[in-house]
Amino acid sequence: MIEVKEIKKRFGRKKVLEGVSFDAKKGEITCLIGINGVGKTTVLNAIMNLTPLNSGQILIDGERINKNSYEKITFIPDAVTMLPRMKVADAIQFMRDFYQSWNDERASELLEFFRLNEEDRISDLSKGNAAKVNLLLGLALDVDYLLMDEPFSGIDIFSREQIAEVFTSHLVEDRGVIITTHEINDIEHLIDKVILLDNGNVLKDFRTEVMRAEEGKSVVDVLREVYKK
Amino acid sequence: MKHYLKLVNFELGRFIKVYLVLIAITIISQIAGIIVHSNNFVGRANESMTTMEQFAAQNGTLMMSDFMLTLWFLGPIALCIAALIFYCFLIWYRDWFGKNTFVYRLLMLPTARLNILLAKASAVFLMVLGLVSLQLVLLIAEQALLQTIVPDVLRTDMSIAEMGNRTGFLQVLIPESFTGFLSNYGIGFMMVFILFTAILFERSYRWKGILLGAVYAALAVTVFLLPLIIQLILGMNYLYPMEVFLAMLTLGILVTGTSIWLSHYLLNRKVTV
Amino acid sequence: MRYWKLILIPAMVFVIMGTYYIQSAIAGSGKPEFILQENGGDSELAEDLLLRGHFVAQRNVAHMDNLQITAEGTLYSEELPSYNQRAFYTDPYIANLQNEHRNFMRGKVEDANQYYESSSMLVHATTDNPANFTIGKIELSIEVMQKDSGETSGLTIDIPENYVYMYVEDVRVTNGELKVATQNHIEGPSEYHVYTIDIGQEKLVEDTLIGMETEEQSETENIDSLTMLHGPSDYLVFQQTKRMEVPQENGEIHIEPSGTEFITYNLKTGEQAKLEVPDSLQGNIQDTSVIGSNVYFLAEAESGTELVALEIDTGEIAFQTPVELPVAGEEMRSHMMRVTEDHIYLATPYHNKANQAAILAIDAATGELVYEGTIATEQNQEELPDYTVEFYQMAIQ
Repeated sequence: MIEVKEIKKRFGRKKVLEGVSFDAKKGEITCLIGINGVGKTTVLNAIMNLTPLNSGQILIDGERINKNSYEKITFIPDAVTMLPRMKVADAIQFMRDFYQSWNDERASELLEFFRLNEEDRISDLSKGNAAKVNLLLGLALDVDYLLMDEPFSGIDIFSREQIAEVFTSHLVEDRGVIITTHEINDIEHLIDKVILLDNGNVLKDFRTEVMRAEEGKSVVDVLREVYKK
Repeated sequence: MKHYLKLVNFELGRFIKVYLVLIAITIISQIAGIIVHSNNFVGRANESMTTMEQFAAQNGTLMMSDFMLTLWFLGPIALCIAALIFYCFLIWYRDWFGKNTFVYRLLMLPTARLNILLAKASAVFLMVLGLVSLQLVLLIAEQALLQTIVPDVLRTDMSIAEMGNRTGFLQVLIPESFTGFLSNYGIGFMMVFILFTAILFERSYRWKGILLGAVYAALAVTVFLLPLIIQLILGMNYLYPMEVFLAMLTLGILVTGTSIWLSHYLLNRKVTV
Repeated sequence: MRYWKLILIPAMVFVIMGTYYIQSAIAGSGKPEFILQENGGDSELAEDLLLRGHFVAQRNVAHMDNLQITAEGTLYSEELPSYNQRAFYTDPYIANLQNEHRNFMRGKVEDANQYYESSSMLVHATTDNPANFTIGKIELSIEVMQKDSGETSGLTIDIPENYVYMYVEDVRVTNGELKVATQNHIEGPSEYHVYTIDIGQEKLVEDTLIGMETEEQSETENIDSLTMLHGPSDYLVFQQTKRMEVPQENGEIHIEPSGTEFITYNLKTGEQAKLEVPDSLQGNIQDTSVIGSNVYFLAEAESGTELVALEIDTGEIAFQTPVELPVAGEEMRSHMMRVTEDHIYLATPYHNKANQAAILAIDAATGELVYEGTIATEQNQEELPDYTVEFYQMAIQ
């Protein structure tokens, strides 16, 4: 379980997170929703120890993040994290070199599924393909938790569908996923839990099935409600 | 350790093209230079109305140290020094800037983040020493070329140490004694770590970090030079040479250690993507 | 081969740098290895001898190396760590004091003349001079260390008159009184003073001006000069050189030495006396020193250079012995002289392939030549490239 406890973050005078708490379980897809600039990415960065917090604590399976955690949790940011001059194969080699949890079979499977060419240079990839490579590099790791930052932003409709397909496949199954997005439509049916961030606070924290069962509202309905006010 | 070595190799790979270009420029410029320079000298000797011996008596003999003050020789060295100093900054900043933010990948590697620092420092260091080694070989090759072009009477052969004595700057790069080599490059290594710490301050605290980094660097250098500062204040021989040496050695290790420790702290706790 | 960079670069560095430093360690610098070669007399006398000089290779005259020659051989500056190059200028006597009394010697001037050492104490006297060469008050700072207890006490003495500059030339202790000889400047030629200080009372007892001849303030006064001799003696001896303007054929005027006499100060009685140099020996007197109750100097006699011993008490010549030291080429520098309690060492200050430097030791009591040696090289001289060595220090370790 990923436990985020009362985390606070300021950038200069600007308060981005003012005591955000939530948790995300293994085997569930947790969605961080909020309008742009609300601090969704900051939360993911903080979980991965990519940005320091002013206060609060984050535990991954009860432990603070350390170098071994990166074999257990991975982050797929919204930009390619490999060097532009690298070929897709080089990027895969790099991952294989450093991660014990790298799974070659799964990587091949994803290459085929996304119809990516290993000989292509990262810098030559289309936006959609770059996002797919990014996804591949994260998904081919045998990790328990996956963090994804806006996996659908700026991507053509076909790629989007392909990516969404991944979520229902065995590639994601059993893992804990935290995903940020402001376009909920594509994945609404996949989400187990929603954390709605606003003004640096958790505005709403609910399970989608409970919401649907008890109040008969979809995630979109809830969002509409919130932003109407 | 395995991760560290892989990272060093990776860092070397990222700069190797530029590095090979630097090597090529150095070789071409210096070799071409010695040929042109030697031939000019022999040409002047031939054109003069005097015998070779008289020419040598009037104009002096040609020696490596003369050539070593020409742009042919100094130009590529200056270029390499500038490139490597630039590289010290580049090796960090290119991970943050540009379309692809490689720093995400680096910081998420399942290895101590200190390895990233050590790998970058090692890469810088290997490249510096690689160029110095190349220069050493080139000096020998250039002298051999000079010897084939210029007849005996018109030249004076020199050892590397003599070239160093005569030109000064070469003694910094290739000191005469091995202890000199250790202390020069030890100080160099320390400076690299101080600079890296300052860069990490900037990467952690941004604008405020520039100030913090500058203050840290100034402080670190001051601490290292403390024995010399004491000498200036209390009189030039207040400390015995051995004491100054031991104090500077200890402080150098201390400053390097502190820089590494601070960098480690910043990388683990403060750095931000 | 993915790791070629990681293997090739360090391997290249290691092999090239390693070869260079190992090879230069094995091959040595290729510079001459100088030795003290005994040509006669008692070789033990050269055992503690030390000569320091600048080595310059003819083809690389822009570069100067320090070297030190002892009975053990030659030490070049590059053989000493770079932080310890100062060792080439530290008098062995001072180096010994620094080793034995590390803290007392800390930060103190490395001038052997400013120290007095007996079996029971070590004294150092120095001055704080006014800044920027202006006339001002000067204090004499004295530090006394008792050797058995290691206890150090300091005292400062205000010098009654103001000077621009004052330098301690010699420090002695007799009958519980401290005698500090100084060279004092205001303008014109230096004055020499002997300050007598009562250590217990921390008080200046007497200020003696050396050179009493105030009546001879003629037009030549400006060109008279005093220097001080150093050596183990109960006398402080000063050399007064009179100079004369000599018109040259080309109309220029040269100032040439016209006569030398010595002024002695008896440390026990505090009396000054004049020691005349016999007319026959007047002329180019150089390399003066003092041991016991004799003043020694080199003078040009008809037969050549002679070492003359002049008895301070009687003014008589104790001995006169010919000294055969080669004069190296056109070098006009005087010989080097260093005295011990028993011997006078003389050496040529210049050495090259054609002119080997020579060293002599002469018995201070008898004038007998007791050691004769030359600077030689371990290598065959002919095979060495041209070089010169100019010695700047001769000392006894």
